[in-house]
Amino acid sequence: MSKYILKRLLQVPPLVFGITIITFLMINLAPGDPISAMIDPEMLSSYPVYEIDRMRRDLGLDQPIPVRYVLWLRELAQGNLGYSYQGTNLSIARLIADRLPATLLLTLSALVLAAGIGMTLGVISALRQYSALDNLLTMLAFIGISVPGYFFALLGAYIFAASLRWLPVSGMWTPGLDTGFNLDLLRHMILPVGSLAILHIAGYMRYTRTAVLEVLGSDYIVTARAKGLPAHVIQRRHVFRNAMLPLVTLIGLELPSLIAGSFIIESTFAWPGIGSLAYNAILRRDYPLQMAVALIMALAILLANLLTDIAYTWVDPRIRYE
Amino acid sequence: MASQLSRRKFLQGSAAATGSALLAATPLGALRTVMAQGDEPVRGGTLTISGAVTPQNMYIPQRMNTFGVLQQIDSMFLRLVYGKAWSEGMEPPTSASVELGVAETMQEIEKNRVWEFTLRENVRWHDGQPVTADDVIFGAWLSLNRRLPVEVSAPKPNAVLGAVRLLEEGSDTVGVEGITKLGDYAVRIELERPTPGYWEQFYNAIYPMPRHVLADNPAKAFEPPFGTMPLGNGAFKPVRYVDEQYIELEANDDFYLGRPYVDRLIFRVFPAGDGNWLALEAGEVDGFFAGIPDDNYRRYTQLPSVVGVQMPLASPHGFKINVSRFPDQYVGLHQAALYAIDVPFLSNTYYGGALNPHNYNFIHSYGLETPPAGYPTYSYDPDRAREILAGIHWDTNRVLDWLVWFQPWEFHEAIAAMLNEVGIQTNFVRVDGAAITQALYEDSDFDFIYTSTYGGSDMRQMWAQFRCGATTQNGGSNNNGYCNPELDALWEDALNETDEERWKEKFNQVALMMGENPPMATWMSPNVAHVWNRRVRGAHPFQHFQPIRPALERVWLAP
Repeated sequence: MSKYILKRLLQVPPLVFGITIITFLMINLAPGDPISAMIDPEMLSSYPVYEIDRMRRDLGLDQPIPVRYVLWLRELAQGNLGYSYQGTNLSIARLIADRLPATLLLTLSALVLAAGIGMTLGVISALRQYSALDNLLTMLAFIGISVPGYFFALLGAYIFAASLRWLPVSGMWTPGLDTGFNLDLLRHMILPVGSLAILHIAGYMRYTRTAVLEVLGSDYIVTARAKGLPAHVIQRRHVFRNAMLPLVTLIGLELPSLIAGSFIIESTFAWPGIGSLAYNAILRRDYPLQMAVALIMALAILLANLLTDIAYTWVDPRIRYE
Repeated sequence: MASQLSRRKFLQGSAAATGSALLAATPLGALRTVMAQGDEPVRGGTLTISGAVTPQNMYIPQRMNTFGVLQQIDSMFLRLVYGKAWSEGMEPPTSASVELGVAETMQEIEKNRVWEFTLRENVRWHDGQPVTADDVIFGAWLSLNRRLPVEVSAPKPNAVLGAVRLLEEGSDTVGVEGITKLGDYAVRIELERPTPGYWEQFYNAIYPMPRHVLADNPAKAFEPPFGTMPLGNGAFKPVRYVDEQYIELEANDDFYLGRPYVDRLIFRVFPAGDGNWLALEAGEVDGFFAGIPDDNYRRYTQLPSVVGVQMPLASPHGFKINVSRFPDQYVGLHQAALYAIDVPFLSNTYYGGALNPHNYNFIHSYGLETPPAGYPTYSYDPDRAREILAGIHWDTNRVLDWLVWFQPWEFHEAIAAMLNEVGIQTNFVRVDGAAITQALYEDSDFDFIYTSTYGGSDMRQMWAQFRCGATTQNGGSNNNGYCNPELDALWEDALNETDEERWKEKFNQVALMMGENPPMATWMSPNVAHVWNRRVRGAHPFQHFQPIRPALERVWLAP
């Protein structure tokens, strides 16, 4: 096992290197540049253009892309993620560190909510296969999978915030109440967490339903029934435990997609996390910040995959990696 | 043609309903309605203004990277003087004037070039220290200093003597050659050359900065947000900053015009545009800058709790044909487009009748506000447009790529329908905002654009838009390949003229030449808008794009 983990870890540097080259190229070859993004196009003709050129030189954007990549890589090797183009002296490492807690709070809450609700509904759906409830949940799941997250986000904000005024429209705290984890924060979490979770609830529900149905049809369940075990015991001891195995993989792999989903949700709800930071970095062509977020996302995905594989051996002793 | 006509009629019909509502909701009518409440001002409360820009870019004026933060900056920092580019109402000014800020008096020593200012002795910094001549010099030096990370779009007194050297080389020694201290509360400011209307231009603004706080380490002013908070001399003082969320300011008890009515001012951040509107409807914010009025503006200003306030934008708007692509037809296309557009219809339907229709690029330039005799004028005449197009053998089946960097709405659809009606077909091609400089100014990748132009008094900057070969590579912004060497010679001669009367005569000649051979089809200056919760009384501190001070201290909130 330790050999396997070491092998996987050794694969990380070349993988990350390849990812950074591709990402750097894609980011830098995209139309536009940070200077254009900083200026309101409506007022562009009002700016002294020599200053625009000067700023482009100051940011090193007059250098060829390979040179810029090597410079970026050199800084990265020294542990420096660089500085954001937005504002001055804003260390990207500091920016990300500041934003990480908000994103973790949002995504982990959404993960717990999505997994909890999705799995529960999936089990109910499977145990009542082809019932009216099963059909209804299946239909809702398809709606959840098909409709983009920002639609739920805007709909929720319009209904629950603007119209009913039950919840705040956006932000993490009401100005003046930002004193840590409090009731105000919980109120602000409901819409973004709900919008982010709703997409994943449907996925968990469908996976759980399939997994439970598969287990219900297996020989050892028939044997358990033949032995006269009560239904609730069979479900608890044999069905749920075995059905949960494939879901471990799902939870591990969902984490990166939850972070990716937070790009839009955080921006919609002005949630000050990495998602909104990355979203703004893309809009503003903030190359160093985009690269840093891409690098962190890549590492998170590789790590999530590795942890999932390890977790799988832990929950299912039959699995062994050579 | 029948379908094209019916399209326009459809637009007219659909817009009529909203148009009447707009008339009630916009601009000065609504303002007067609210202002005429006659209630007694109430002290206290929190005024919440929202914006799409994170406050971290506007800690000090020198870090201002977009006009979206102008209101925040001007709530904390006073300028030496403010230009009043617009007189009362919607009319262009008949004469430029200056509103004094930190300066108490302003005396012109040499026509359009040298002035002496005395400063108000009762304007104080956040820590009670007076604002002095040293602070004026320090603020100007900070803005111009190449060695400091000044934002590209931050205002800079570029034309002051010695400014260019600071901009190009920078300096570690505080001082600007053209700004001399005459006493603790008096300065003399000298420009490189006479510049009519210099102080009316926002870009030339001087924000005094507290030398006693920052002189030891000027770079400290550019450090991450609010490292030295509070800082400022305006109506409000910043007291709290929450990254990407809000900045909280408290009323400045020592503000020279008296303590503001509201206790707290909060600027909230809504990166996604629609969040602002939802928050306004939910009563979470009191107002914000809404840009050029769009569908959201029209819808929300029909709510009983919301009032829309429009203000003129000193920037001519119009169409540009890519001259490089249509070298033999662009003059006719520009002229035909001007005859094709029903400006009163567009104005009444989409801007509550408050557009400023004109086709004169110098309308906002000090001393040149009135077009010279003989300057061509245009009014809606589709038959004339068709005649012109026939005269240039225009292929009415040709579809022009209309490059846009915004979401076209009914207004643009209506323009397209009107152009279509005379035989100029267009097709919207949308590019991302971050790619627009490349598309517009480097690649000139368009057939047709609807664009704003620089419309101020800096005639050299205006020339950069129309001068032969003035591209971004050489300090220009001529993006449609227009070139008229005769015009260039005349323009250069006018720029070098120091006598104001002769200067005006020469620029009138320039205007007439541009009228004959128009580099673009200018047809109006638009409005931009703020929206406010009706509880906001006393003043609508509108200021975006305007070189005027937002009167935040006069705002009070109805209970």
